[in-house]
Amino acid sequence: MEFDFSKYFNAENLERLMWALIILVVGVVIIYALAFIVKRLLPKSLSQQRKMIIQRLVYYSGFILLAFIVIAQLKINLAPFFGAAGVIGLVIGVASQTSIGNIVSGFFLVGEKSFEIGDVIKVGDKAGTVFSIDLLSIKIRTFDNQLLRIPNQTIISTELINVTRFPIRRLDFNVSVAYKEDLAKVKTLLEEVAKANPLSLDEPEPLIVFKDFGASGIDILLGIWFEKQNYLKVKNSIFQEIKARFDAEGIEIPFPHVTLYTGEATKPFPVMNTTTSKK
Amino acid sequence: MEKLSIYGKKQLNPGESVLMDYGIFTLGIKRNDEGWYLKSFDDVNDGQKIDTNEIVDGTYYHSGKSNRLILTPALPVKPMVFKSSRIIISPKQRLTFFVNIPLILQVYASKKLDENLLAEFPLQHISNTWFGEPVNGEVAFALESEHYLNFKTIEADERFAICPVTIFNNDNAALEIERLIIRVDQMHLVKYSNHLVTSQVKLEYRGKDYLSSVNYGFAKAFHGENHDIVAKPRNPEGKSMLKINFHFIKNIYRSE
Repeated sequence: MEFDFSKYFNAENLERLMWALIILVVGVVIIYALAFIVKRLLPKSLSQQRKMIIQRLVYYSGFILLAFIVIAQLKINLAPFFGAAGVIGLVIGVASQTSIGNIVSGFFLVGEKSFEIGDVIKVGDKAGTVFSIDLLSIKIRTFDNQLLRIPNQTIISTELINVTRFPIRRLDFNVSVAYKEDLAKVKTLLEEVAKANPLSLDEPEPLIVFKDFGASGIDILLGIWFEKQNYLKVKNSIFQEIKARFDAEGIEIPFPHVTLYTGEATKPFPVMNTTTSKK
Repeated sequence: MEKLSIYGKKQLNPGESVLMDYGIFTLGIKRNDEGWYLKSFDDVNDGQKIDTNEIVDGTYYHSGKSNRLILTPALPVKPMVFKSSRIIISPKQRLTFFVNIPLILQVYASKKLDENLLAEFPLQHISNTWFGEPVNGEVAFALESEHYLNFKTIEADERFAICPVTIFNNDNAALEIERLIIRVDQMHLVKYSNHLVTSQVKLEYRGKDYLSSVNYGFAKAFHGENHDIVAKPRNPEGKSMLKINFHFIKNIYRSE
């Protein structure tokens, strides 16, 4: 059987192909220009996420329309394709189960608005700033500047914490003091530390809770309210101030003591009766 | 207050420096050829000498050839929250009381124009607070002032402005003020008699479930006939509007 090249590679088809290429190039340019104009025209008050969705809508609908125009220009008969659509759909459906699941999950995520671009979120043990919300996944920029991709399906079925959803937050410090300490004094000191910190909000009031009689000392919770953008400054300054105030006031922060023996070769601890030796 | 001693103009030639004592800090000012060094010396003990050579460790503002610096008072940049559980206004009654608003020191180069503002220094330690619910409130400064019922009994202090607040309780229940936001960023600062006085806050309270209306204006008794304006509002928009001005604590936990 001889393949008749002239049937497909003739002047008429080449002309169509050339026109299709021109339409493709011009179409892509128009779509990008349109998306740019739409982005510029969107009100500034609109959230980044909504802007991104509208822009993507322009891209996707533009490219679908362009694909149809190019196909029409090439005069490709789509009937056989549609005829085989059932079989192809089945094959594609099975093959792209995960992808379709991710796309559907993506729609739910966008609709639910649990987070937006720029929010700081925690998913499992990962945390970072939402960088983009895409068709199949969301991208997070971690605090050590890595890009983390999480499939939409994972996000929708996982517990997620939006750290920056509300304008203020409470930061909890677990402090432990020795059993011998005066708890009223400790409470006053912690209140003073909270009040003296310029970034700590005086309302809602700082929370002080005596939590537990712990193994080494009494566990206390100090909760400081602050504006969400001051997280690091508050964390570091309060931490340092608690340590400094406790040191200044002679409040002991207990810690577990562990003594290690390395076997029989280790000599016992030297114990000296200082009272006798002085005499 | 014929002369505002901690405010005013300073004329310094290149190389000259001056130290200004503002109580909680000392401001070091040094003139350079075409700019100014400003340094705030905090926690200076009484009698402790400050080395003027250290002023150059502060911030340098390149402002031009004018040797003149203007030190002027201004109201804080954020609203202030007045906390009181000791004022109760009966239905259909109007009360005027006064609070002291801590002022900010503004430093301008050459002339008092927005573009010439070099720096701002709070004249009092002001702590941050939150007005409203943790999910939708607004950040503000905490006003740790008592309230006064008589304007004339308030002692003049250059570091504070007197703010007259008039509340009309247009509700059928008594109003117990818990938290009241005073939007100082939308108010004028006026010099009157011996005092610095802010615009008068006029509030109409309509009940816990309704927004209250507020507007800021002048009154002859507190501002005189000719208003000697020291500072204009930082945010002039929204002079008269319906807003959340009162907050009644319901969701905020109390530790005790």
